[in-house]
Amino acid sequence: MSIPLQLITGFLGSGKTSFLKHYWPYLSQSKKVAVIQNEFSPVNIDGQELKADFSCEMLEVNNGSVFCVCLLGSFIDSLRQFVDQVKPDLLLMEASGLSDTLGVGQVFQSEKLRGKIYLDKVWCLVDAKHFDRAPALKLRLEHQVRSADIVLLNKLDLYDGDLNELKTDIQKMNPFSALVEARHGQIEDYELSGKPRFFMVEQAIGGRPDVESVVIKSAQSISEKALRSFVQNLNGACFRAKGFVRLENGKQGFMQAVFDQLEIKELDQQAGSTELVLIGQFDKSVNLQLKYDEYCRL
Amino acid sequence: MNGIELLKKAFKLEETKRAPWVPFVGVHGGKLIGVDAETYLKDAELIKQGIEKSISLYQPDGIPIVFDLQVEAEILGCKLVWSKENPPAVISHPLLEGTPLADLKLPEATDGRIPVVLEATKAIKGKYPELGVYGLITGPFTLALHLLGTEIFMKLFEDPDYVVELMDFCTEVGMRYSEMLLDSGCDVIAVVDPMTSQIDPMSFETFVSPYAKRIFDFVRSKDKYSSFFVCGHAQQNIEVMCDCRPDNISIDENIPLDFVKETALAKGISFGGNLKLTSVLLLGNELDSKKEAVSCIDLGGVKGFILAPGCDLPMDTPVENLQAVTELVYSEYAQQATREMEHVASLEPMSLDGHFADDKIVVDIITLDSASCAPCQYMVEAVKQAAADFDGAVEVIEHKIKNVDGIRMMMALGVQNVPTTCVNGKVAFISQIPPKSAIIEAFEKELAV
Repeated sequence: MSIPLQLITGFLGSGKTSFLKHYWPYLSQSKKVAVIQNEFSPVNIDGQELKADFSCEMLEVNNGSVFCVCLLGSFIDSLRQFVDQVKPDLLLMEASGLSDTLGVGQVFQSEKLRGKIYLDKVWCLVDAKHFDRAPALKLRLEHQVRSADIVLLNKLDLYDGDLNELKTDIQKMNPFSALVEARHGQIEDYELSGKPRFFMVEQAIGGRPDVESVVIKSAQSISEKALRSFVQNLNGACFRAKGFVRLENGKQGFMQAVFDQLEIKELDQQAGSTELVLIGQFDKSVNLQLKYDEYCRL
Repeated sequence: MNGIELLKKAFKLEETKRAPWVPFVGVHGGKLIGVDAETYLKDAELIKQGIEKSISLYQPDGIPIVFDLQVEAEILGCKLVWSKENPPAVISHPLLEGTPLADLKLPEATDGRIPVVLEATKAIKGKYPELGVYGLITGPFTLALHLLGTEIFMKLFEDPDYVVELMDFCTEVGMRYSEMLLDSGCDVIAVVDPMTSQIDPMSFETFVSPYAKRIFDFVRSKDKYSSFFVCGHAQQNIEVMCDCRPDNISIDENIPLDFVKETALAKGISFGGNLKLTSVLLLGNELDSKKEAVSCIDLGGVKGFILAPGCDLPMDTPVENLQAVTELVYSEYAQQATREMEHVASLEPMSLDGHFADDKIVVDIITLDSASCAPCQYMVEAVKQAAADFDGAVEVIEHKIKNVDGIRMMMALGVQNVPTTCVNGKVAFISQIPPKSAIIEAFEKELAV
């Protein structure tokens, strides 16, 4: 069976590790959950802290993938080895606070990981108290929030500003993610909060073999028509897809699809680059990234 | 024309007859000679061997000798964790741990791994004087982040004076190391500052521009060339990067090449990039790599464009994929053929039902078009001549990928190069025109089955 992977993102100090400390025991009641730590910190303090707190199977990736996609290659073999050995039902991956959030999802398309691991959902932690502390990083914060399925507004116990204002700010960045309040990395209802929010009935994806996720990133714009035919030409291989899209008219769109049913919403904001996550059982001979690029040029 | 001359033309925005090609071979060089990243990066002789191997495999116009942004940091007291497949990672930040900035000293040519880099540089430049040799330095902002850790993002606002002082020091380090690299024979200094992708243009102008500009001015004063490398989501900073006056900016797949082209050329600066590293070069196949390269070449044009990967090549990047890019760089036919395959993604392979027969050999030749492509023409002629000896027992069919059915046939036969000859559905000859005897031998072998 393909193993779902949940990515936990957020800036350094936003509370990713403490969230993990609560979320892992919750999930572990019913499943074997392994953790991947990809933090750029002195001697992987977070990893040691986690290990001391509870005994989970953990893969530490201490290779400084802080920089960019160029260092992801070596992660493929260690991850493959890890899942073959540990055989988890679910993977939780704590992403480096500065890394390119979805970039890591690209390695799941490698031959060694295809059909074994898929990117199931993305949590993003936001430190409510320090939301505005580093305005130079606002663009990166927006990018992380945009890539998330669920945004956890953390450290609310320390926040004394207007909560509604804060929520509106975040919803403006990503109106499609679930927004959940958290204190000390804890939330009230993990099950409800973690449910994917799709416009149609969610298809059961877990428990199937050969499920894979494909991350498509593109700086090119695409017409709505070309985007529709791209999804249609996946011939039902795509169980679900979603993400922000750079549309042709300079606008930003948000698209979600279940099989070939597709919804595109045009947003009233400046277009960023496209980042889509597709989950399904795809033709292995086709490079979907290049296929998407081709449709951009149509 | 030799590599460095071609690169200089690109830097000066003169038209080039083809795009110069600069594969960013870092620890991939270790892979080519069968050593791990750590061993490789610590040994000048191995680096020399890795780069020589890359030169023979990829025929570059320019190449970096070492791609490792931890050389300076290590000397300045950052602890490193070494990896077998990656450059090392910085895991401690001396300024965060209490070392005063005033205690940090500028590096000397004998410090840390600088001698390794300089020795390898001298050896390569000595042996390949016509190659454009890139010397890489850690950009001042990324070096500052190594020294202070992510605390620097907070300090930008809480203690800007300190950041200014730190950036000043990191710039001095960069100029000192650049000078050593230039003295050892580098033609181009690449200032690699990926962490600038994290900040907004206003912070960039305040905390990065004045410092980067000093390094580029310094390189120019030495009559050499400079490039500003950035990766990640840095589109917001392209304009301010150009304003730092490097000779070139190099970007990765996160920024559209046409956007960079427009911005850079308007400012009179050459540009390079942005072959997709993970999804294509590392995980794709040869055809994917060619398609990616041709799309970069077509977008980049022949004025001021340098073809390069978005960043340091992953160690395990398949050699065939980079060779496919190399073939494309040097062969206009390969470019043309790849362009014809633009819409492969939306086509279905041709059905091969009834295509083969028991009583004869079916030879399929996939060509661009034998009427207009010389290698295709010679392959078709050679195969037809050989077939003539078999009295109708061999049927030769040419499939031109200039039309859709030709492409669909190519897909059905699993062919990746043009021209390719398949005998009874099996790939027999790729690209090179085989001698008649080899073709006859292939037919006879098939008849014997």
